[in-house]
Amino acid sequence: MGEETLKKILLTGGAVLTILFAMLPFTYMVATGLSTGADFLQQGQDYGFTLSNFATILFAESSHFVRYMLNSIVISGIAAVISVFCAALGAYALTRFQVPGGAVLMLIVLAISMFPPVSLVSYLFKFMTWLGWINTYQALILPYVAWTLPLSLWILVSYFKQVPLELDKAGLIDGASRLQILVKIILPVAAPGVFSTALLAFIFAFNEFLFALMLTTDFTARTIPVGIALFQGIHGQIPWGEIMAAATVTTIPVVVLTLIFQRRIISGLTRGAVKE
Amino acid sequence: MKIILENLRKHFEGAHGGVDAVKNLNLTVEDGEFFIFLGPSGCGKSTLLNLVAGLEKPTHGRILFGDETVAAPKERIFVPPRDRNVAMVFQNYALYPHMKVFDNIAFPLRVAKIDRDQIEESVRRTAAMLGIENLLNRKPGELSGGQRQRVAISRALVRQPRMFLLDEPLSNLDAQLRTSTRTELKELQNEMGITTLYVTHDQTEAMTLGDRVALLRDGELVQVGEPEALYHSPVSPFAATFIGSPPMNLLEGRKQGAGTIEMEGMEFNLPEKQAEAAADIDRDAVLVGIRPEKIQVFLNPPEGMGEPVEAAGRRLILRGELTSAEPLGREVLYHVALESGEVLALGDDMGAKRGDSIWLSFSAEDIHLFDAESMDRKTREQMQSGLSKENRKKLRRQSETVA
Repeated sequence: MGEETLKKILLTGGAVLTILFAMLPFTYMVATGLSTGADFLQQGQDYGFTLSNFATILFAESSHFVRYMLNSIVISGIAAVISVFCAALGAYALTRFQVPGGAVLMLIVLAISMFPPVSLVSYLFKFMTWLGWINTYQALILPYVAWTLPLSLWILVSYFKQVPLELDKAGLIDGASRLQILVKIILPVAAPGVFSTALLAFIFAFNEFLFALMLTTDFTARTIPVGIALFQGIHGQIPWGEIMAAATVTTIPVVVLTLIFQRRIISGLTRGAVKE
Repeated sequence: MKIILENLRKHFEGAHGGVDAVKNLNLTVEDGEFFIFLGPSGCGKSTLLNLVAGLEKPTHGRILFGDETVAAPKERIFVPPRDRNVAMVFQNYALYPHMKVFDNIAFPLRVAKIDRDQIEESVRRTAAMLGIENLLNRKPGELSGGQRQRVAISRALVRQPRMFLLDEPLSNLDAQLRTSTRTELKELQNEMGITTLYVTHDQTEAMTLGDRVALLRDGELVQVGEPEALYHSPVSPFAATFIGSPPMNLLEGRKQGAGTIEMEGMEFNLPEKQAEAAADIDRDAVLVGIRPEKIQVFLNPPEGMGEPVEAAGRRLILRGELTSAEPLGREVLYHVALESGEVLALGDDMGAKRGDSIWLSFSAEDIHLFDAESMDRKTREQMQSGLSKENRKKLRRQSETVA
């Protein structure tokens, strides 16, 4: 057996193992959601294919699942857009102007993102109570923006650095203002970075649990992770089938978003801007 | 638009101390002139262009467009680039990659909120002028270097700017395209009569394009004048070696009384013009400059060899040893070792081999004299290394396109 063949086998084997490892929980989740009994893996249990779990979470009034979903998408979406826009302003300044202590600033921003959220949550609760924002969208959007901003800033700075400064100069000569240059030139040119940053911020906010648990009280603003976690109490026993069905449906927005943006996240969009 | 630079200085603060990119520079560019900033990299020529464009603020001094002061730090005057109405073409084109060619050219007009029909008309007219009408729906990434260059020029010209600034616009094109674009640029500027500042490190571009050339070095003006003046009467060894390709030869000599020079073991009298130049030099140690194209090369001792060189107009003859001969196509570049250094000479192919004896003959009328002390370290290094590799290649390409 040649070295090349061995390499190929190892590579394929490794890939298959990685995919199996990554997909197993997901597969189990989908399978459980489609089964009548959650313990179908035990001996003597039938699988019993059914769609009733999905029907329950989607159509039963009491589950509020659709509402959770809507809350999650709106909150995460708005948080991601605001976060990316603020980060873009910051990244533009940090890469284009000689900001005194710019590097230190970046490190401080990074340090802030290291704060464990649990250490902030009690204060945040008091703060939101004082504002009267408990159980509203903005109560979650604000901390999510703050929470994703460091990440967005760091990613965008690295993308903006790759956009040649000559484009800014050309824009200035052509009579554009700095904001016009950012919106009309830099953001479109750095589009792959902007979209991947937005996607990351969205997923970050979409998956967040602790703040959502503490700052919401019912379905008016509750997001999916909390919603799913609190499913249990309703029927007295843990409704694994419905939880797994809900979890499956939850993955859809993220997957769809990734698929849509994937075409945008290809690199090479700066091709033709300048001659390297 | 006349451009006046007064006592202009630009200081850059760096991590390892500051540097003056432009040092107290005074210059006037006349209306409609094609003006070249020429110099080696780091001489401040691009900074100068950015100062005129408004992309950099001067540290000191004043910039005037006609009667209007556009930058004067003392009076806190600074007109931003958008209000200066200047157009600029960058070395790497700086096209907006996400926009089609049409939108690239239309960008300055759209920013100025000009109405749609007029934009359409202006873009099409400019594109037609540059011969890129058929490319308007392409993206910059789908264009060749030369096409991108045309788009960049179109974008600069579309709104009829007060002046045209070009920062090494040809250096990214290949040799043939560079020559043809050079001609077109000159014609375009002639037609439009627009004041043009052109930055380059390539002395051929400077000589062929410029109405006048400013030779810069380390942020200072070395010499300003018409290309012929820079070629025929360089003011310093640096100017002498930077302009002309291959560069001027500089040989060490000594003044022996009025109007007489001792060089390479021989003495000769100077013609009137050179004698005047020699009188202006305080020291005895001088540099004798002679351009390679003014030297005749012989394999055998030419007539008059060994006779004393006295009368003005008489040719000087030197004997040396050939160290290498580089065929350039049309002619051959001979490197000849003399007692006091290596000399370059251009001549016909004579089948000479390395180690052969070579006789060089040139007229005393063609020599230039410089104070040996004015030869600083940089120029000396540049001279000793002879032609850099890059220069050699360029030279060969040039004579190939000629031949």
